[in-house]
Amino acid sequence: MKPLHFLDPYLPQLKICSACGLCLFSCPVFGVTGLETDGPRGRLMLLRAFAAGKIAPAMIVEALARCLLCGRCESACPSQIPLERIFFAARFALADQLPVSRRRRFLARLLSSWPGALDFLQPPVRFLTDYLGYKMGRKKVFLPAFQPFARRSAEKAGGVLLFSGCLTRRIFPRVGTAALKALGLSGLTVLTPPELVCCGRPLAAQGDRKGLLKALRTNLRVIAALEFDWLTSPCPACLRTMLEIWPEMEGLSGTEREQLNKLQDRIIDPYILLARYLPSAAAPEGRIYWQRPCLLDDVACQSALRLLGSLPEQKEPPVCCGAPLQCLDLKPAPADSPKLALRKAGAPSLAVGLADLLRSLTGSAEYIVTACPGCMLALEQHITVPVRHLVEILALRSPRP
Amino acid sequence: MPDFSRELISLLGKENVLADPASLLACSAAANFDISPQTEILPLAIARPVRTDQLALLLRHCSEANVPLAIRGSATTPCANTQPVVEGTVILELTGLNRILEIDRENRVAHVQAGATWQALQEAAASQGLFFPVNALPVSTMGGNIAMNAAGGSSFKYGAIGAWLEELEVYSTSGERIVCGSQTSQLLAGFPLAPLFCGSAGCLGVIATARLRLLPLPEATKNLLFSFSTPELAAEAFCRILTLPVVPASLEFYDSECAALLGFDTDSATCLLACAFQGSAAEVKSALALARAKVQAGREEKAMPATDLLPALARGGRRFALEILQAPPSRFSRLLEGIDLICQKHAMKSAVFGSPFRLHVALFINGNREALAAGRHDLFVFELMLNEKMASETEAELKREEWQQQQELARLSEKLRPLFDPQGLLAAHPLPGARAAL
Repeated sequence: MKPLHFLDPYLPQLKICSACGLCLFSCPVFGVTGLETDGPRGRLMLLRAFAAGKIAPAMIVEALARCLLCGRCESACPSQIPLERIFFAARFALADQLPVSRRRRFLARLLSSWPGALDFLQPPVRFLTDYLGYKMGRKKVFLPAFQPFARRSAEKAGGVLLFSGCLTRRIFPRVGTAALKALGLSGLTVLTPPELVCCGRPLAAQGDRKGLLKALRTNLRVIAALEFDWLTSPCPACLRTMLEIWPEMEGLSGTEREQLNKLQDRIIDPYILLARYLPSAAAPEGRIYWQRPCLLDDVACQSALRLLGSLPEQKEPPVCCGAPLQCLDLKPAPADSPKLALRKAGAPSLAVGLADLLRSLTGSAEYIVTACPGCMLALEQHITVPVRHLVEILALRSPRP
Repeated sequence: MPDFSRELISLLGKENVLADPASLLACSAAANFDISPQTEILPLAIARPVRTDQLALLLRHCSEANVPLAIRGSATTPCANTQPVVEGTVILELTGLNRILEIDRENRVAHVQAGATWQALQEAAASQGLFFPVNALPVSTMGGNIAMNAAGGSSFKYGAIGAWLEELEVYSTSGERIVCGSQTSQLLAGFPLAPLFCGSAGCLGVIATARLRLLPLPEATKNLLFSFSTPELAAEAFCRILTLPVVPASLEFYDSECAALLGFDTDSATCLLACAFQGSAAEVKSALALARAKVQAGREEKAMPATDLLPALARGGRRFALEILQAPPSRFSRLLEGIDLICQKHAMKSAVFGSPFRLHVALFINGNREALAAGRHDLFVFELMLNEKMASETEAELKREEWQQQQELARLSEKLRPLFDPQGLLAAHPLPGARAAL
């Protein structure tokens, strides 16, 4: 058995790990189950054995699929092993073994190749769910009321390109509207080209390299035709994908690679921009629980917290919402399985285990503030406390006199 | 699934035994910064008792079946066998026993299970306005810290974990419960054995719970960073710190290699001393003023450097052999000088850090293993001389392992082991002090 070539560039890095275990503390999945195979160290050990041809891929697929790809372990690793990239590469290498249903794969591809199709599909699905009482079995169906946020074209060259991301565009259009407003309040010109497709993160999580490359190419083509100073998004997952996964992609032409390199320097978190330009205001009232998105980096997080005002001290590291689990079809572990948190008897799945933890932390809060539509989706599914995106709060500020 | 795993499942329940190949493989590795090869022997099963009665049952069963054990907490230490080293081992994972049983605010005592992490203890203690003064990795378990007698940077003032131990609940390999204190008392039924288990590296039994003393949270903590152009100046400054009327809560030395890894802007300085003071606001203020007057202005830092230097040294795939050299604080300058001379003699690159009386020396491997072995031996002889532990000149010829075997303490310790572990189920655990051979 030979290791698949996606892992080849990382083979020396796999060997560096001294198994010190400092990554364990940062891993949200290990935090719930406490199992070695649910921590970055265990996953890396399994990958190391797989790369050496010692074990069959089936042995590591589950451990790999339970990784949330949040990248916290990478920032915690003192040996600076690019863990997040290694786990993505492993998913590419084991794409055909990952538990992804056809329906989910189809939806991810649709979002990245023909997102307009969903605009047509939305009214009938809405009709089915609302008027015929058809239950989708979840609190939130994937296609909510169709209310695309206002598209504003650039009045002059320059300004900010707002990459809305699928979740903002399809499920939380209010976040997109608020982002437009907050950037507008800051005096910035905003571009929101409707031709942009999915950033490709769900495809990467499903190991679909071809689909990801296609999405990247489409986006690059659209972006290259525009003039702007910064590219930003209310979704940190989109930004992280652009910064970390896009440059790793092979198969781009010379021009495309050049366009991508040019783009990299202009990608910025919205909170860094807003902290610079948004008029200041008093901190919002009420007891807030700040759900730090795993994919929001430290600098952006500091800016976000500055914008939000003073907050009570919270547990570090924060608990992940579990949204990335929705990219795959993980089977819930049976009730007597060690895969469950041993002390959290009754939690039917990892997502519920994470939600239980979050519920215990957010109990006394009046509302939860986060900076990621993915977190919003997962939190709304499991928690009754209202959830708001940070840009929604910032959009309420009064304009500069 | 092998029969023994089935027996364990019937004993502990399906949810507390792991026997799937992925889990077995993932637990076959443990922290290893050294160049010694990582042993990868698959365990028979991983047992995670969640109650102490389950632990006793499990130990009794393993003892009846004569199955060797490897005791594992978070497996963050390279100094103990937390992974199997012989075939047919069962890994006893203590992370299932992870509860903080009580924080006794009045008596300032924490009652914790062995698998509770240092971070969990600190959080629970802080909620009652207390703290545990010995530093350790946040993810490390308290059982592991006690078994290794952990002594972080704060040991300069507070000593090692043994000094904070009130009582231990230990299980022998045959499943007998032993409750032992650390001080002589009329309520004790024998010797105060807790200090024996503390630092025993898991050779004598399994620590299940511990009572640890706590301190009230200090009102203020300030960190000062002093930088020096030569190690001699750092040693001199350290001697001046020793004469201060206050004891720093933590004191750590970093050479230039380590300072750069920690991300300190060293301004062309070659080494650093990081010093923390704790106490009431007025005490800390006066301590800072004193230290500044005696040493140098220094720089105030928000936090002391993180204790993750070992794995950071492995950045870029560098491998190193780790030595820990101890000497009384007053011999810090001689310790530094000796390390430098030995590294120069064998043309080795090194990184030195740690408390000035307990220095970690990472010797980087540049392909010349003979020079490395000779260098490690020289460091060992130097440490013996510095601590005046060398009985005769012929001892300088002995390898570390040979010297250890010759010591009466080693012989006595080996005689002691069967008392607690008659079947030798924990025989794979090396005696404390044993280091990986080249």
